[in-house]
Amino acid sequence: MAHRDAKTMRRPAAFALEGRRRRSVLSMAPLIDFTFILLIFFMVVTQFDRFTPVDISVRKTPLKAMTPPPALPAIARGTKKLRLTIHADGVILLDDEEIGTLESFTGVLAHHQGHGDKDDAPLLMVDPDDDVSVQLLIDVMNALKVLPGFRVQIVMHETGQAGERTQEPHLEPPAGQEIRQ
Amino acid sequence: MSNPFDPAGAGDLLPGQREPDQNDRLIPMINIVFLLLTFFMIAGTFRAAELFDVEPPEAPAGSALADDGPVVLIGRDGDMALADERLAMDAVVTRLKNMGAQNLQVRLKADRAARTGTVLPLLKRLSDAGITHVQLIAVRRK
Repeated sequence: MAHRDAKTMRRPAAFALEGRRRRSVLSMAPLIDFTFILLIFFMVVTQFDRFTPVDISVRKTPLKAMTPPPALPAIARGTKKLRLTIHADGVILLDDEEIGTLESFTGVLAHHQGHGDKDDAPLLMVDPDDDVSVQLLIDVMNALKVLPGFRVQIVMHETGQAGERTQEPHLEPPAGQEIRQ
Repeated sequence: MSNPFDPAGAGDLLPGQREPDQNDRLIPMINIVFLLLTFFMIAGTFRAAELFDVEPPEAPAGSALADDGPVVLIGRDGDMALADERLAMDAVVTRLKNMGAQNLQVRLKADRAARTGTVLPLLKRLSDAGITHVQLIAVRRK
């Protein structure tokens, strides 16, 4: 009987401990607030790296060669030269004759493609107007990459000498190497 | 509708289990928010603010962009900047030349609307200064 009483006496203390444990729950609201603030901060300031390079070799060598560049073969004297003029409004001329716009000019140009040795390929001198945007020039160079039978150069305009142009192009790797992507 | 065999509802809980409260219902949302937070912290990159807004041209994905080397900014109105300082073209070329032209990898961040009448003369000046390795920064075309 005494043993049974002792058991009954212990019960209230055990219940009290269980009750205390049940009440010790942390509120999650501040944690959620803080996490949301962090999330919004990172969503706003984070940038995803979408950049890609357009490699430009301003001398006669591909970009990857970091040693002194070997010169490309000189342009042969009898090489056929074509001048591709780009106007700021997107009109493209081949030897002063309009051949279309960015979407259509390669069709006409394909008739002038060389089929033999790379050194004998016609020299295509791309001559953008000063007002041509960088985007348009890149688009034209990209379009020319699908025409392998050309050597492509960009004609430079001298700074501060409006209308006066250099006779020799300053960017002169072969097609596909000058502006590579 | 109450269970006729358990009118008090005590049988729904296992021994030692407590009634779900408001916090328990928020746990899946907190999990997702933490996953998003971790994603943005790992996948994103921070960049220093530039002197003026430059929106690079679009181009098909190419080789890897150089990790180091000076970045020359060219704005749509022809402004140039190097190392967070607005400079004229001559000053840009001089400073780059002083950094050592040989093996210097210059990254050019030109606005897509910038005139070639600004960009090409700079390339020529760089070439004249012996700087031959230039990358034009573009945005991958989707």
